[in-house]
Amino acid sequence: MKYKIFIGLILSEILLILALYVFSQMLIERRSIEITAKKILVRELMLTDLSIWTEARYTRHPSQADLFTPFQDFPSSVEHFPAGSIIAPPENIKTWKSIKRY
Amino acid sequence: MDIIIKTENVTKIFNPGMSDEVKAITDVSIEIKRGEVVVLKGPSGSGKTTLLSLIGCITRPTEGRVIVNGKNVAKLQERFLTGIRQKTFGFVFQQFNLIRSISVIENIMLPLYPTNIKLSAIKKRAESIMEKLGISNKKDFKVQRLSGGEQQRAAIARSLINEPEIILADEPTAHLDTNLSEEIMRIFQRLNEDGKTIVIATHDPFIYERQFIQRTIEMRDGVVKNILNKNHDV
Amino acid sequence: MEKHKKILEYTLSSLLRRRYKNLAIITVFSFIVAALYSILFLTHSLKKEALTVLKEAPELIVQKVSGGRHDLIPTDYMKRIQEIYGVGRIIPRYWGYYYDAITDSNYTLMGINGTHVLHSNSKDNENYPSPIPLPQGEGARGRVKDVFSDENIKGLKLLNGRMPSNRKECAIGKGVSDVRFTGIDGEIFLIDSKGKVLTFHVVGVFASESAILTNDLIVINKDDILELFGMPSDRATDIAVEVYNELEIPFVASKIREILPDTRPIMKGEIIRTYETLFNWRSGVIFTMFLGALLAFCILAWDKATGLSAEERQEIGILKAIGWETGDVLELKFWEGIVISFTSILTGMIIAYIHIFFLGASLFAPVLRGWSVLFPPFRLIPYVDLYQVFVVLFLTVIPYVASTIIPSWKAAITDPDTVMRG
Ligand SMILES: Nc1ncnc2c1ncn2[C@@H]1O[C@H](COP(=O)(O)OP(=O)(O)OP(=O)(O)O)[C@@H](O)[C@H]1O
Ligand SMILES: [Mg+2]
Repeated sequence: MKYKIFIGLILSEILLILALYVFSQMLIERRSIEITAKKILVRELMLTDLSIWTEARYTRHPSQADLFTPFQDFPSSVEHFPAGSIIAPPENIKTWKSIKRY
Repeated sequence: MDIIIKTENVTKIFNPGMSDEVKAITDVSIEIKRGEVVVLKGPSGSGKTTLLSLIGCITRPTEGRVIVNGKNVAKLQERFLTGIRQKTFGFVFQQFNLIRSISVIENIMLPLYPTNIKLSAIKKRAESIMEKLGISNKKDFKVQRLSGGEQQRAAIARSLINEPEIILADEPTAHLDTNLSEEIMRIFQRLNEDGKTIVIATHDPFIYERQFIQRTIEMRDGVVKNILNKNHDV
Repeated sequence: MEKHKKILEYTLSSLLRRRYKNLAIITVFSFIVAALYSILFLTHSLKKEALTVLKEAPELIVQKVSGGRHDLIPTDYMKRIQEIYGVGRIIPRYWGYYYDAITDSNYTLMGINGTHVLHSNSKDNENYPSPIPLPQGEGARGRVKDVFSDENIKGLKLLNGRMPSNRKECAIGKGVSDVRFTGIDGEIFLIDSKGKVLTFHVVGVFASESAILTNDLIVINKDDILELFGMPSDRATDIAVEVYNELEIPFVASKIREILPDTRPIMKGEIIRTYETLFNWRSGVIFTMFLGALLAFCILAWDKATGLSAEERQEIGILKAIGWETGDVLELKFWEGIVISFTSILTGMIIAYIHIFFLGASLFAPVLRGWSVLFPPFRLIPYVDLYQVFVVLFLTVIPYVASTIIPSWKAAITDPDTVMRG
């Protein structure tokens, strides 16, 4: 009865996924205190960015980067850093003009 | 006795209009009565397999009508034919047409898979048929590991699993020795006694000399040459 | 019901016939799905965390711009900003980058006024809470008070040790502490703008749980940072502006632009939007990396979709000749697609979950990391977006199943005789 084995396999995979989902929810609940802690850090230290990519100014603080980064030297210069290619240009470059409209 | 199969001026042309056009059978009109055992004989290439396929709704005539159980199937759409095939016919193919790489018993059970019969019931039925045909010891073998004769018997077993009204057997003894042929013919005879209609295509004299065969239709170059009605002759 | 079970049974027998080929397909398929889900899980979790946490960022950051570049801002500007209606506290920020040649890493240095108070689990804690009133603070909304009045944060571990309160003291991120092999009571020396070595006493190390925010930080006294960077004492890096009413932020921003034309206000909403786009999963090296695999898989699916092998055609012909209906054959093909795609997708999903949330995206880390020397370990919170999960599920199952059924369609509706002979 191969179909029984197959259905068993699929069901156990689904069950495992459901268990992982429940586990996720529990973990989110349990680690919500961590989030609170991080919120306090952000508020107290007045942080604006995540400390993930430390290789350059515009990757460390993408939200605070100059208008001309990441092309600081020349507007069409070749990207220097691999992380740059997974960071879209900061939104404020696009929206910054809209501030003037008020 | 009522007529279960009837062909009216049936012609089958393969690849019409192409350079390799073949007129396999021409203007064939035959009648087969319910409960009859008929043998189609004739030399190789005379159109026996083609005629069987037409009767069994596996292919359709270029011209003429094929009537099965009073219904003209010649122009029916494929989706109506499948139902007729499943309920009416058991087909033993000349080339066996077993599915490679799956077990013998699964091949035999296969025609009944798309039905609501329980798998265990089908299995029991398949086992008893295999018993009768002497291949139960090869149950779980892969098809391609059987000898020609064993494959032939597996093909016959498969044709019987759905308990068809009509059995169409294309050279069912071609790969069997005398003893086994004898055994197969005895099975056919028993089925016939149960009221089944059997059409056998063969050029094996061993078959058409059997007593229980009522008629022999002789074909040559795609046309019916001669119909020999044994019951009247004897 | 019986019928479908049996067709499934035959499907499995049929798949087992070509078990190595099918196993290979399942493996490749699972791998692609795992990669796809990994990207989704990772970016969604990071994004969700970033957006939640950065909601606490200052409402407005005012930068001075000179020649298109970020410049030091005169602290006088604070008075001008103070005049705008709706503005709360105005705090100068002192920060900058420091390249450490010894470890080849970049640090983010931050100067604090001694006004920042962080809860800590050390005994120093009792001595520390001496909130100094902020220069422009309106009192009632004082940040310092909030932190201490909040019952929830008791027992929170943000920092081991304490924040610097005297000069030549520092609190450092876990990454800095690891790369410099130092900890509480250790020392860190930095070279100032005149080439002089300044030694700092480490009084606090940020908890590793917060590495995603603090990994590369060195927090020192404001006066130390002025000395270190050689900044004039009437300048700050930029100015954080509190705005009471969130809705008024754009208004305040444009007002600032008006009063101080050489500045550039960055609104909190922009920071949040930056992180929204930043983690947009569509753009990304990883995705591109797996594009090749995806493409190969599409070719495979295309190959399946465009033609049946002679063997498959013959199988269909035989099944039809022995009484299977067209629908049954199509059901067989449907199951074939479902068996392969479901097994692969569920397996891939599980692998991705383990990879991202248990193994901290270890396979992606080298790619994500780029040239960063200090890179925080991912201790991701398993936020999962069910919508994304189902979108991928449907976008993979449906095309795959379709590509198994469609080519069989024609074979299944023609004469078995024709099909069998190929
Ligand atoms: N699908 C097809 N396409 C083209 N030609 C075909 C096809 N099927 C049969 N033929 C041709 O039709 C003729 C009759 O073939 P058929 O198989 O009916 O002969 P047969 O009497 O069964 O011969 P044998 O005794 O060798 O099995 C042959 O010449 C064959 O080449
Ligand atoms: Mg033949």
